[in-house]
Amino acid sequence: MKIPVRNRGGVTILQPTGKITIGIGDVALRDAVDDALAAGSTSILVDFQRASKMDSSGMAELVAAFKKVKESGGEIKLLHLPSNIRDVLTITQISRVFEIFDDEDEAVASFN
Amino acid sequence: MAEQVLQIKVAISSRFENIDLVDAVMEAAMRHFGFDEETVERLGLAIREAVANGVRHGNRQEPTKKVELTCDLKQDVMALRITDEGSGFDVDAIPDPLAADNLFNPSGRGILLMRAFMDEVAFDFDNNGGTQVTLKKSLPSPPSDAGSEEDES
Repeated sequence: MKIPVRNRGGVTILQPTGKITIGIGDVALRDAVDDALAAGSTSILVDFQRASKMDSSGMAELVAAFKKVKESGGEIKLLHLPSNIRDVLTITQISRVFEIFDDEDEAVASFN
Repeated sequence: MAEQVLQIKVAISSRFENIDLVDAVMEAAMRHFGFDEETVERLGLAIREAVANGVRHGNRQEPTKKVELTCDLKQDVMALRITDEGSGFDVDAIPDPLAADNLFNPSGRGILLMRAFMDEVAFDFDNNGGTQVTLKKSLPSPPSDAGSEEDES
């Protein structure tokens, strides 16, 4: 599974689809972030609009991504979290780490 | 509902892709039991975490080893047992994923989610190998028809 990527105003937007769970979705997220960093992107926005579910493996990749991007001098932020994913990110307190947006324009502008 | 009314058993070989099968079976079952969609989502994730732990940490993805799930409905409670063939682990040694120093740790959140969403979570370890995770959740109350009875009186 490869995560669709687009660019807007210098921000790399990753749009995972379906389950971000153990074995497939979590690996796809890791690969997409690694590819974005390798391509020189330092502003990464993960758009969850088409994501349906995230388990602890997906969350582990999300916090690993935050760490990697930060160490590269960049920022990674979250957009359009469905209520179920927002729920588990709140319970695990991962939501405290990330800036979270509901509006793409606002999210993209926040990197500047 | 004092007596057991239903039992579901699912066994999978230890491959990540098989976890989705357990997920699909249990989500359909829990809708049938009357849980609302939000609760099905939450309980499904807790069950997924227990099964995934068995596949990854217990059986170390050895396809010849099985993770088995048994779901019993008894006394208005959904009780699940998830077993693997691994060597067990020390539950108390798992770092608290909510501690500030552990926020970036890769592990520990699965058990946190099980405890957040289920009424009871227990871990038992067989001397001959294998971990058994027990998850319990009270069934939702059936819709009350008391109102219609009052209307008739």
